[in-house]
Amino acid sequence: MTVQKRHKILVVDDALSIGQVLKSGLEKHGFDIRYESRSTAAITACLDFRPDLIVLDVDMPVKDGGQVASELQEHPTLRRTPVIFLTSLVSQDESAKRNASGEILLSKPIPIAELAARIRAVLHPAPSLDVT
Amino acid sequence: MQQNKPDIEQKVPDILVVDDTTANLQLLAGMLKERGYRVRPVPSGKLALQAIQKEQPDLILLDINMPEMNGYEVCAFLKADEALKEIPVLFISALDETIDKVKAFAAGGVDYITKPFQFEEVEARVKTHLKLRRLQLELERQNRQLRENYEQLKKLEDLRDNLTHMVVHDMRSPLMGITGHLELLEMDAENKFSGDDLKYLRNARRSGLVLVGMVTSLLDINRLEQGQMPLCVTSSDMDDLVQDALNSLGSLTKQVSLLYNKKSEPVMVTCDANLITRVIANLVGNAIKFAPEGSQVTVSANKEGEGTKLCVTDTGNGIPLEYHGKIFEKFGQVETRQHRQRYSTGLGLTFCKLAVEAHGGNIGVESEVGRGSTFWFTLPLSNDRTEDSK
Repeated sequence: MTVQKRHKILVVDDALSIGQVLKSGLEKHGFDIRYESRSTAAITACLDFRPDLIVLDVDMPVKDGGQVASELQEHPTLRRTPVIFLTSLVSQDESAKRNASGEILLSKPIPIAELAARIRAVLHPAPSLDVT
Repeated sequence: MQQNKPDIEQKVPDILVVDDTTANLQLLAGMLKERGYRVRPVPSGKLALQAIQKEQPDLILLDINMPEMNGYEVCAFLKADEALKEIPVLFISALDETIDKVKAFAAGGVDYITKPFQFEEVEARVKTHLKLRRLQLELERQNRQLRENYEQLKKLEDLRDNLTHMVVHDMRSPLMGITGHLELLEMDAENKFSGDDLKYLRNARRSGLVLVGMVTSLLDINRLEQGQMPLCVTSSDMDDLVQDALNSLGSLTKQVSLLYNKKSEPVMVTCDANLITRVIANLVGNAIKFAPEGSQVTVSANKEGEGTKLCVTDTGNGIPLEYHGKIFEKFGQVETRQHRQRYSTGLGLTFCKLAVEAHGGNIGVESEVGRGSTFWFTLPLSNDRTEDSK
């Protein structure tokens, strides 16, 4: 079988430690990763990189993950890009809202293998070829 | 705050004497001055009010029968003013009918002296009321101080909780940096490391994960306390939860002889499976960690009444009765540790208590020193609590 296309994942998190570990970690799991530390640059990065999925930190300065997600929702070409929220702040409101809209909210710190599995589950909802 | 404090103790008491009869005024004022008081004599009600506005006296000796504005009116005026109403007013009058005295007290006077007066009596009454007033002010000051201290403490307590929360919260990202990178190293560690190095790496990762567990339970405690923990309630087989909990403990379970009495028919529970699994893991983990070498730890789940009861029994050292409640409390643990007694790790038991209670269940321990302990919790059968337990 030919080598599958590597899925592109954009990671947006203001914490450098998260950015570094997710970039190296998810690359090891076979993804093509772009890391952006500024939430304000997330949309531009999306338009440039065209990710298959976005891993988005919720609690970020200036513009939080929720705001970035809303902008994505309203964007003509990016609105269908799935988002996995990564957070250390889970409140009832947040998770209820996210779960209602079918988005995934994961709590930090999370093992990279688990995150990789969740990403694969979103990208391949039905059982399919193993990419890695 | 300091400025509000009346300096009565050091200051010579200031007495305002009000009487339209000059002879009376001079006589009273002179005698009081002789006793060391500061005296301001005024001959009319109007002038009295002016003098009071200018500077508040500590006490007022007030005649009743005066032209223009009588003593009752002066007194009523003072009592209607928030700033002046506490100044004690002693009526001093030739009117000696009971009705006059009643009127004087109704107007707000604290005492009534009839003329002609004995100076000793006037002085004694003045002294008494100055003292009462001083004590009243002192009491007010102390109350104010207590209230301020209480508010300050309350603020500090909130700050402390917020600070803890903030520190722990901020630890999450770097912690993920550590455990994540160690996880990456471990991915193909067998090819890169050998012998001891591999062991060091695995130990480091394991310690990192223990720290993650502590941070998570601390933050969960905070959320459970604030009622912000959403419960993801499903129906589960208690057996699955116990197995998941035991698996999560890994090699720890090999340190003791662990016995799990699995029921032949499934014990179903309605709960947040993740939370309850962590509760079980906490209880079993504690039993193992604090049990001496070669102890036995038994886990059992049973239907009890309308609900389910899970027990973790060890053959360890037991826990004195006085700690049975404290070990589940956030601050009780600190106290327990100060007595060099440790029965649990971190805030694990506090987390267990809050998590079980969020389900409407109970948690507790039965233990006797030297005979081991049984930690248990119950979960109610119904899932009615899914709404209000949030």
